[in-house]
Amino acid sequence: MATVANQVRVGTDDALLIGWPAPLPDGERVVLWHDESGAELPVEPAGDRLTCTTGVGDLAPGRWELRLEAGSLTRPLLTDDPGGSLGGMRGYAARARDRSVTVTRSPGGHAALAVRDVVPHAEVEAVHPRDGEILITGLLAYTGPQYGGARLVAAGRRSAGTVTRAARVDGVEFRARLPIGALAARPPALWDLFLDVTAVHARLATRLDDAPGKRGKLSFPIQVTAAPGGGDRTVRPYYTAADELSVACHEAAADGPA
Amino acid sequence: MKITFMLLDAFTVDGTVRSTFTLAGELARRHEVEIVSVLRDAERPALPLSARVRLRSLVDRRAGGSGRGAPGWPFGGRAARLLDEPSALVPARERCYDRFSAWTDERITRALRRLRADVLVTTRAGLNLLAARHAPRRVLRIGQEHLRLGLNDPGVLAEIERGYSGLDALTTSTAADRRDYLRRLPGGTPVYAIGNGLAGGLYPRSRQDNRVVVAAGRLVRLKGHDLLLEAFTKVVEKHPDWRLRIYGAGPRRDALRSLATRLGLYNNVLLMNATGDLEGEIAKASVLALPSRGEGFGMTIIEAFACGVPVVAFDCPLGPRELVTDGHDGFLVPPEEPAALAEALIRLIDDEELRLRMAANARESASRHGIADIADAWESMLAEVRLARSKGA
Repeated sequence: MATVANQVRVGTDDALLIGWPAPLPDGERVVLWHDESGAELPVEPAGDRLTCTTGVGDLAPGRWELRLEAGSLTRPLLTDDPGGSLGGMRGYAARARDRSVTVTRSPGGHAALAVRDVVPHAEVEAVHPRDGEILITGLLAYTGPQYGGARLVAAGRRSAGTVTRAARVDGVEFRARLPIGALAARPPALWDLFLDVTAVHARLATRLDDAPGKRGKLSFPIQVTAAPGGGDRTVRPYYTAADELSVACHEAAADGPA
Repeated sequence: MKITFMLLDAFTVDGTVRSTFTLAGELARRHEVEIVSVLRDAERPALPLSARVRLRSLVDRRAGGSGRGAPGWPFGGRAARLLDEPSALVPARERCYDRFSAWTDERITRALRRLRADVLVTTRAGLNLLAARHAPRRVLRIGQEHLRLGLNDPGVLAEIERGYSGLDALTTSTAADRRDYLRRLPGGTPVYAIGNGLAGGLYPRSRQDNRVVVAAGRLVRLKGHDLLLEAFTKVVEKHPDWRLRIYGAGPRRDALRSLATRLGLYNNVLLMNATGDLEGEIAKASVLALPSRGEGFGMTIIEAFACGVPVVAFDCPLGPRELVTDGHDGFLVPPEEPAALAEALIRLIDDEELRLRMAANARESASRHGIADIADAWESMLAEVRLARSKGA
């Protein structure tokens, strides 16, 4: 099946690369077709007809179907490339950008591009609730490398105030610690976490692991700590419905943590 | 030929539904094929079904369906009453007894008696027994065992011994299960071992570039996901950047999530939902783990092969050892031993060259399980059974 592409990927430089194991037949070319507007963008294959490359960083947001065109006939571009390269997504997000382009593949093997406007967030890669603190590591997504002071900000909902701690940012990687005692010292609340670095106010979230909808897929352990006014508090990180990381701080039931 | 498949629930996601849909779709290229689902609770099946296959149901439990509380349904009140009464026809120890009722008894026997088909294929013990007893003689009655004989309760085994003589043939997924049935069934009911087939079409191929182990299956004890979690703690000790994704739905979901948390795997394990594109998700991984305590066939093994993903499986009864060639397209390890499972996973993770070699072998192994060949085996079997019956009649 010469026309099944074995590679459909978007590089960190927003270049779409399509590759075939055998030359594309003469007269065939790739067309990017915008679902929303019907706009078409034809792309000619390279001289050896084994690859096809084009910049896609300026495409309008929405879904762009990839098609093969031969004369007046068009058909969907098929690929056996599963996409979803986790390393690729990480590398892609490490650059500053306000638009992201990802390759999607339908169950039948049809390739398309998903173009979205993005705002920076702090991609959470690991959370360690232990030893009286919550240690969080990850990378800054879509900001490019940052240097200088950074702060982890826990913003309490319903005007519970904010708790701020110094964090470390090195290029795009960050590392932040939140002592649970600082949350337990305030009234019980839900705390939304942000990473502030230079002019960026980035929500902590996990969106680059190709597994949307974290709720129900994992749970973090509870830590219990004494509240200053007596009694115990339970502190537990959790993902919101939007895959953002927050921390729940509740009064512990008299018979221990739930 | 007109061929009718009967499933307990065509609207769920499991290996029986998946393999039945694939076989029905392939046979529908040459025959008139329908699927009768005893239960229905959704508009459309969760898994893709060929447009050539007709799908109907007997007990519709959607809001507005013919089940409990259905407005306008002439037997609405009666249906609701009978749905609460236990089945009198299905053996009480059938593994899915709870899903049958006095109402399914009535609907199934009525459907069987009125069946207009040349061939009826029933897909689990309870339905096989009902078909043997109630389907008309003019219909060729083929029972299927998708699990294995040994998984049936002793009470059900006794019913199988008595009742399956009313079937024209029985199919098992493995040669081993066929041997077990032949020993058990004294009546001379022919037993054929015909495995499940891979649907044709384009499979995504793993690039072996994600540090991900994948597993899939209903979240029930038999599938052994608890053993896999235990094994994965050892994998993470050595390879903290490797992740495990378990695709499936089922009653053990909360317990498994708590176990993952207790084992400290919250950064490494995700309990993914069941997916309609399992191949797409398998192909994003580099290794498939099959930690089942028992596996009638092991559909995900050949699906992983088709995606170029090697398999590490427990050598449990019965399927894996007939599908996985140890050391060639995966590893078979002693059943229910998490340490052995972990060791084999780590070996594959450590050795990329080995993984790539096994991935290539896996693709080759998959070519032995194409649905076209499986459908051919079905047609030969049906011809043989029909001939035997006409001689006997």
